[in-house]
Amino acid sequence: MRKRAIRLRPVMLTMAVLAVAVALLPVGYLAIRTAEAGWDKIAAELFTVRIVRLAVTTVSLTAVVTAGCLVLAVGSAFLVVRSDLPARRLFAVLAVLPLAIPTYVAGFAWRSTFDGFEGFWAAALVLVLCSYPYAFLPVAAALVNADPAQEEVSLALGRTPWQTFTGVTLGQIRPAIAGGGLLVALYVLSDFGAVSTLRADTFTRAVFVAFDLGFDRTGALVLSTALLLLALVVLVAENATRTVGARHASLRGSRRPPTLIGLGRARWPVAVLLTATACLSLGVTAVSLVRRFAEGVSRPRGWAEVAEALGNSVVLSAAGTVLTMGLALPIGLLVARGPGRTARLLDRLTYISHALPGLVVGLSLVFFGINVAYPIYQTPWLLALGYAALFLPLGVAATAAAAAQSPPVLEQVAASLGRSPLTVLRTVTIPLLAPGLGAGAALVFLACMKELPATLLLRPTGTDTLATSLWRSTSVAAYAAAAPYAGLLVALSTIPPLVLAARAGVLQKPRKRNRS
Amino acid sequence: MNALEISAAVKRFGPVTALAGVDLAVPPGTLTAVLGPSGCGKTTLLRCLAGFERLDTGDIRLNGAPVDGPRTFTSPHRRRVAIVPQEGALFPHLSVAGNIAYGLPRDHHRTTRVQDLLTLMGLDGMENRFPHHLSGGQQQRVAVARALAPRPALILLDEAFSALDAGLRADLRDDVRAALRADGATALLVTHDQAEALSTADQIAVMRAGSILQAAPPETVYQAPATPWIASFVGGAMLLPGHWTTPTTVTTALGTLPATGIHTTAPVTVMIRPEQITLSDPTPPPIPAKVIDRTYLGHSALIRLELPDATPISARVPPNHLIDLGSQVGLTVTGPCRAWPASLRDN
Amino acid sequence: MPHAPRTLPALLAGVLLLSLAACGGEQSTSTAPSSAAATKKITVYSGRSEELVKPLLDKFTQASGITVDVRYAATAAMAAQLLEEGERSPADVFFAQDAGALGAVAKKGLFAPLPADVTSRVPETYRARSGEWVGVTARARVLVYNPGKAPEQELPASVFELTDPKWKGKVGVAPTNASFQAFVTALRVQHGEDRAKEFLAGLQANEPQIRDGNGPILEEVDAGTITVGLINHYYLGELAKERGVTPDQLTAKLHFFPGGDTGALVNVAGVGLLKKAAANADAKAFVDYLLGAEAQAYFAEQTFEYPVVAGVTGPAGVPALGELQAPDVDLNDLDELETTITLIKDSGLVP
Repeated sequence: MRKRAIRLRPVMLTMAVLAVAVALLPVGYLAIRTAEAGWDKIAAELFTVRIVRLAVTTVSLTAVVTAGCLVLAVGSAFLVVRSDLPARRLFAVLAVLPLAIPTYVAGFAWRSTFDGFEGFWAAALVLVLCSYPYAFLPVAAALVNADPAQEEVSLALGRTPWQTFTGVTLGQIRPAIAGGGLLVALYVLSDFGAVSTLRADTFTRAVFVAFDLGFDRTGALVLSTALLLLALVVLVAENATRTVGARHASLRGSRRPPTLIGLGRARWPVAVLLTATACLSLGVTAVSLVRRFAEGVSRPRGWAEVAEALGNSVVLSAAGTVLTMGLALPIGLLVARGPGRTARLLDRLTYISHALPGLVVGLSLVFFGINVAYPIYQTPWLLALGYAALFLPLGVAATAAAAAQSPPVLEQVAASLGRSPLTVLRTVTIPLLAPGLGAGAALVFLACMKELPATLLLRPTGTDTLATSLWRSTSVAAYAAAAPYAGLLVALSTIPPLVLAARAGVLQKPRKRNRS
Repeated sequence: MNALEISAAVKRFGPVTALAGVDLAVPPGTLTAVLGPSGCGKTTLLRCLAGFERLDTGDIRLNGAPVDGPRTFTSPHRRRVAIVPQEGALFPHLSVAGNIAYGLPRDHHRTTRVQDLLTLMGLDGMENRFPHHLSGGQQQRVAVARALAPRPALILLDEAFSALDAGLRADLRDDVRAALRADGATALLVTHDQAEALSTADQIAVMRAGSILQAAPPETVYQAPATPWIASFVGGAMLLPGHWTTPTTVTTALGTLPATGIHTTAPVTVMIRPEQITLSDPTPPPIPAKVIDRTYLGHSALIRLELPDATPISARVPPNHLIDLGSQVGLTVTGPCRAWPASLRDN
Repeated sequence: MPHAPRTLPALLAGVLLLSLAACGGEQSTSTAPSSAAATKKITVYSGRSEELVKPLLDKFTQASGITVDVRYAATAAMAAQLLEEGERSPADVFFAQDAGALGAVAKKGLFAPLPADVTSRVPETYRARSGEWVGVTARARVLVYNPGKAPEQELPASVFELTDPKWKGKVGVAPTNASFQAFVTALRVQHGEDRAKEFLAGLQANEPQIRDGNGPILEEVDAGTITVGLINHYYLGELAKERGVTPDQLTAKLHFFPGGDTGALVNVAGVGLLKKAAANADAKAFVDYLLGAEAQAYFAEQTFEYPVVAGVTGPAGVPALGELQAPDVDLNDLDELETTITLIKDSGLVP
C-alpha cells in the first residue's frame, strides 16, 4: 500500500509520543522504584487490612465527590445557561471562581472556622466545593452549544420539561459530563490539601504520611503505584461511558442561541440557593483569610519580595503552560483529526499521572533531572516539565474539544488553495483553535500557580513563588504575613476562570423566551 | 491538450473498490459534471483529484503533467486544484475578503483580484463581512470566489449547490457558470442531481459503481444514453422489451416504432421518454390505455397509464390537460426511440 | 463565537512569549548545580523555615562573605529529595528540623563526618556518635494545656497518664509529626516495645484529637477547643510572636513532665555536611557559625529554642535546658525508626 497523502500526521504522531513520554515519566519512575523495593516490601505494604481500608475510603471519597460535583455542576450550569435566573452572569462567575482557591487553603479555612470539622464528609464537602468548576465549565459550554431544536422536538412530542431534560438535554451533554467527571475524579485521587488538613484517610494522605513517618520513600512509592491502578479503573470507567465517533461542529448557517426557561415563582429561591453555594465555596475561605490577616501582627518582609514572588509565579506558570500546551497540541489534534486506537491510547495515557500527588511527580522529575537531564536540574525548564507531566490532560482535553469544533474540511480547502501543511496549521488550524487553546492554557496556568509540592522540589534554588511563600509563612504560623500572598494568589487566579467562563459562552447576554 | 486526464484510476478501501478503473478527459475552460447516485465513487474521485487520497493504480494528469501515478504524487497544496465543499466551508475567522484572498500571494495584484472576484460573484460591498453574517447562498458565492482566486488548474465543486433551496440554487448555478466561463476556469462538478448536471455542464460523466459509463455533452447523454441504466437515471425513461422488425424499427407493447441502435436478432430493451407519448381520444384507439394516476408538476403533468397487458407507461402532458383517473385513452408515440440488446438491461 | 475572549488569548500569548524570554534569562543566572564550590558560595538544603533561618543566613553572609543559596522545603520532603539525588546532589549542607531526617540521610551514607573541633562543641547527647551530624538547637516535648479547662494541679505527672479515661477526647496529638515519632522511639528505648505499644493503644482508645501538626493543636488549646496537647515547647513562642504578645499573655501554658518522664524528651534540630562538601571550608564555616554564640543566641531569641552550646542564654519564659528533668535517652538510639513506624501505623493513629 502506498503512503498516505497527508504528511503532517507522522510528525504529529512523533510529537504526541514525545508528549506522552513526558506524562509517563512518573509512571516509569514508580516502576523502577517499586521494582527496587522487592517483592517482600511490596507485599508487606500492599496486602494489609490498612490498604483495604485506604482503598475503600479513597474510592468512596472519589465517588461521593464526583457525584456531588456533577449534581452541583449540571444543576448550576443548567440554571445559569438555560433559565431566567436573575444575575445569571454573576452566578456564572461565582461558579468558576472556586478554581482559584487551593484545597490546602480551603481545608485550613474550614477547619479553623468550624470546630471539629474533619473526617470523610468534611473532606468530601470541601473537595466538592473546590472542584465542581472542573465539571461546571465543560457542562456549561456543552449546554451553550447544544442544539435547542432537539429539545423543542421533545417538548412538541408531549414530553414534560423534566422528561426533556433527562431524556434529551442530558444525552446531548453526556460527553461533557463524563469528561468533567473524569477530571474531578482524578483530581480527588491526587488531592492532598483537603484530605490532609481535614484528615480523610485516602491513598494520597497515606503517601504523604509515609514520607513524614520515618522518611519511608519506598512505602510511599508502593502506595503511589496502588493509586495509579485506581486511576486506571477511573479511566476505563469513563471510557465506557463514551459514545463512538467524534462529532464535528456543523457549518450550516448560524446557530440559534438557546431559549430560556422561566423559573416562575422559584426564581428568587433558586437565586438564594446558588448564593448560599457561593458563600460556602468562596465566603468561608475569604472571611477566614481576612480574619487571619487582621488578627496577626507578622508582615511580609517587604513588598519587593511579594512582587518578586508574584513575578516568579507568573513566569514559571507561564513557562509550564507554554510547554504543556505545546505538548498537548499534537495529541489533541490527533484525537480530533485521526480518531483511532493509537490516538485514543496516547490521549488516555496522558491522564494516568494526573492522579498522582504532586510530591511523587516532583520526585520523579528529581530522579529524571539527576540521572538524565542534569544540565536543567533545578532550572525553570525542569519545573516546567514537571508542570507538563502534572497538567497535560487539562491541555489535551481543551485542545481536542477545540479541534472537534473546527471541521477538518477547512484544512482541506486551505490545502487545495495551495497552502503547505505548516501554513495551514498556522493560518487555519491554530487561529480556529485559539479560543479553545486559550481556555486550556488558562486552566493549566491556574493549576501551575496553585501547585505546591512539586514546585518546592523542582524550583530553582532561591526562587519563591506565591504558593511557596504562602507555605513558608503558614508553616510557622505567620498567617498575617501569608495573607498578601494568599490574596494575590487568589486574585491572580480569578483571571483564568473569567477567561474560561467567557470562552464557555456563559457570560454572553441571553435571549429571553416570551413567557405565555 | 486536456486540462484533466484520468486514466485507469483504481482506488480500494479494504474490500471495497471505490474507483474501478476510471477514465475521463476534461478540456480546458469547460465544466464537466460527474453525475451518479450516492456511493458510486464520485466523492472518492474528487478526493483523489484534490490529492487527499492517493490512487492505488492509474494516472491523473493536469495540463499534461502527472500529479498521481506509479512514480509521482503531488501533495494537495502543490496541485493547484481548488475545492468548493458542499457547505462552503468558509474560514470563520476571516472576512469575506480574507477568505477570497487566502490562496493569493501577497503582492499588489491581490487587492485587484479580490475586487474583481467580488464583482464577478455579485458580492460587491461585502468584503468586510464575516461568514456568520452571510446567507447560505452568499457563503457559497464566497467559496467559489475563493477557489477561483489563485486561478487553479482545476476547480472541484462538491455537491456545491445541493444545500440551497431550489430558486436560489438555479440563480447561483447560472452565476457560477458565468463566472467560471468569464474566468476561463476548468471545473468539475460532482452531483447526484441530473437536472443540475444537464443544465450546467458542458460535459456529463455518468458514474456508477466506480466506473464512468458515459462521458458526453448533455444532449448526447439524454438523447443517446450509452446504456439502459443511464437512460432511466438521466431524465427518466420507460424501458420496454421488444425486438427488431426492420433495421430501423422495433416492435414493443406500444407497437412498431422507429429506433436507433445496434441491429441484432436477439430481444432488445427499448427506451421511450415520457414526452414522446401523446394522448388522444380513445376512439378509434391507436393503443388503448387506462389512466392510473396524475402528478401535477407546474410546467407539465405526468400521467401514469397501464396497457391492457398491465405494462406501466408514463406520459408527459401540458399542465392544463385535464383527464379523469380510470378513464380510457389512446396513445401515440412520436420520434425515434433507442434500443439495446436485452442482455444489457441492467447496465 | 464570543468576541471578547478572542483578544484575551492573543494577550496571553504575548505574556507567555515574554515570560519564556524571561525564563531563558533566569536560567543563565540561576545556580548551575555543579558550580557551587568554585566561588565562595555554598548550597544549603533547609528543612527549617525560611522565616526563621533567612535573617541568620544574611548575617552569616555579611560576616563571612560567603553567599548561601538555600532551598527550603518541609524536612521530610527535603530528605526524600536528598535521597533521590544521592551523590549528585547540588547540596553542601542539610539543615534539618529533626534528628530523624538527619539519621535517614546518614544511613544512606550521604554525609561526610564532621571534624572533631566542630562536634566537640556540642554535648554528646545532642550529636551523632559517628560525627555525621550535630544538633544545633534543642527542643523539649511538652504538654500544652488550657488552664481554664485543666487546672495546673490536675495535670499528669507522666505522659502515660494520658491514657486514663479522665482525658478521653481531650488530648491533641500530631502522630505524623517527626517529633512525635522521636517521642515514641524514646518510649521504646526507655520502656520496651510492649509498653510503647500499650501506650499507643491506650491513647488511641482514648479518642485523641488528631491534627496534622503541632501548630493547630496549640491554637485549639489556646482557644479552649482542646484541653491539652503533646507538642514541642517553641510553638508557644511562635504563636505569641504572630499575635504580637509575649508567651505569658497567651491562654495556653506549657507543662514540662517532671522526673525524667519520656514525655519531656529533648530532641534537636541539626545539620550535616554532604560528602561532596567534606573538604569545603566554606561549608564548614557555616556549620561553625551555626554553633557560634551569635547564631545560638539568635535561635534562643527568635525561635525560642534552646542553645546547645554552653554559655548562651536560653529562651525567655521557659525553664533553662539544664533545669529540665529530661529522660535519659541517647538521641543516637532514636534513628531506628522502622519499628516505631510499624507501631504508630498499627495503633491506628495514622491512616
